[in-house]
Amino acid sequence: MKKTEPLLDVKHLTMRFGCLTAVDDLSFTINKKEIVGLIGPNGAGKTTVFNCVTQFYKNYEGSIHYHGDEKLDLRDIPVTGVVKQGIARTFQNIELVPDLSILNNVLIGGHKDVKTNLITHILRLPRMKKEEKALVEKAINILKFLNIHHLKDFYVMGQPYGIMKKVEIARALMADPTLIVLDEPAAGLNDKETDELEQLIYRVRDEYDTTILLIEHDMGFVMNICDQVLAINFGKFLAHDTPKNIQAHPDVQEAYLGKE
Amino acid sequence: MTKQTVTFKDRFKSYTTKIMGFIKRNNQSHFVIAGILLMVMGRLIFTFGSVSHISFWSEILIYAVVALGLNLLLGFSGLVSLATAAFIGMTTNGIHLLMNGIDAFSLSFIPAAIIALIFTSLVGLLIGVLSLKMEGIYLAIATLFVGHIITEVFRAFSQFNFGETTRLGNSIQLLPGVEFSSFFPADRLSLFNILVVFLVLAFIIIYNIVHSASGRAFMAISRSQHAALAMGISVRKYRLLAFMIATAFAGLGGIMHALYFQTTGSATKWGLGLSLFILAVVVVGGMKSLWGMLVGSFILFGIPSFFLREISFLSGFEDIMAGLMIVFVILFYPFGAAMIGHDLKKLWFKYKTWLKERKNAHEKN
Repeated sequence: MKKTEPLLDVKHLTMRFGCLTAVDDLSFTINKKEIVGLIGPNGAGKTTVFNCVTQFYKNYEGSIHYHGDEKLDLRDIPVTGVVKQGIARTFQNIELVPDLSILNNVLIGGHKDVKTNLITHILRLPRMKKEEKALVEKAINILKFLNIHHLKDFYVMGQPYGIMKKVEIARALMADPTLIVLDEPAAGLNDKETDELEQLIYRVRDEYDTTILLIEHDMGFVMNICDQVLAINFGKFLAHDTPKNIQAHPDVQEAYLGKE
Repeated sequence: MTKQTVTFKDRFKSYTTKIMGFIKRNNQSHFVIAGILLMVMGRLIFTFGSVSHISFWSEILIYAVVALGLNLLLGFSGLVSLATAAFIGMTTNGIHLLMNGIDAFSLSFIPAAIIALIFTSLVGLLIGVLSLKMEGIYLAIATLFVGHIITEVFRAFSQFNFGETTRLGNSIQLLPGVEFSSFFPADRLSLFNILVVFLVLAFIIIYNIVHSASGRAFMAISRSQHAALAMGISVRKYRLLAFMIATAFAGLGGIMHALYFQTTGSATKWGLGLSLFILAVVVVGGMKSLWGMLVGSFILFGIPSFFLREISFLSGFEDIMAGLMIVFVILFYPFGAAMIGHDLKKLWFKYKTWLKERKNAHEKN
């Protein structure tokens, strides 16, 4: 039995949009070094949970506690401060800058480490050059790790979907995350790419020492890769268990297949 | 004897390779070279052409600088402003006000220009607050009326000569007791050369901003706001910054205008028409292209002013012809006139490969 330490602690999370309750009294805990899958039918509120965790939505009820260096309530942190606490995310629809090179897109992920200001940038002071050099080096190492180093000077625009997904992961890794939140990483990938992504996620966990929370519709992928699976439906908690138990869980079966 | 010439040649060669290497490594030096070429051109026009041509070129440079600022806003940060020209007027009128509009100030040119520039930038920052609340066409309309208000203020007060153009003074006093003419020959050419220096500086500043973490942040907030936020880039901060920089460049254009023409320019001149023309410079020149701003400014302000005017059978139709030309440029170069350079490069490579092929065929025979 390996020692479990909680990293993310969500308690009684409720998020309402008008009279629609997207997330309804959801509580769960994610332990360090786990790969956790969040599943549920379309419209179950998965992305809303992500947006609450990363503070894109602020007016949720309940609490989200994060045990990074110290325990803190994420609500006290502005959306731009979340990444500094070690939570980096990717997006369901690719959110990259199409007319910047892949390298520069990855460098955007290092923005939290940019300590120099605009005046330094205008004057190109040595301080800025030094900082930029360190960031580029780090970005290149990440690109090498993801095997897309040879594409670093190409524009993102026109790259295949699989590459863009990798660039998003690279950008998240650039922020030295302890928790990576992946929104549908396997969507739109073919079987070969999905297998590759599986290996990649293990490697990210081991080499970058991170915890991974992901949303995915590809059940084979989720059941293969995840240590724990959290199933929700209509914003309500269904089950939180190992993949094997989740597959056998009557409520989950009902949510996906319907009632007999 | 022969040995000496060889070493000289070698030294010359090593120097040239060093210089070429430096130029290749530092893209900023390209702007300096362009500036030197512009100065040479100014000298030639001054010697062989008419002084009015120098004035046309000065306008091109002024609007190229303003367009560079607007490009950062429009091309990089995805925001729009239709008050650009009003901000140029604000600086020229501000300089006038500080120099001789109000007796209590009566500053000399440099302090007046700096204060006017800072004031204009701060107003730009204030207008930037609008961009936090709205985007796109709504922002365009809101800034349109900001510009309208500014020009109406010029028309309303006697200090601004009710929107009529005012002369700043017969001689430029740079600092208390320091005359412009004591440093430079007081002619149009030296003023033009100073404008070229301003342009080169503007190019280098924008280039350095764009190729830095700040530049990446500007791109991120316009292309994918969510990702920017998730990566810790404050959309609010960078939008305000973009507006402030764009306005500061409009103010710089105002300083250039005040320096060269030594007038404030009328309220009508700083109206919506000019703002739209500067917007057109950015679009015609190519969003996100820096050289394109000079090319676009030349196409919009240069070609109708002197090239078409020289052709006698077109007299009276210059502006119509210029308009047609701009439509064609947009039609064939939707990504900006800066792509003309790209096409020329392509032609050159085609020519080179053609030469090579011909040579190979020749050798085979």
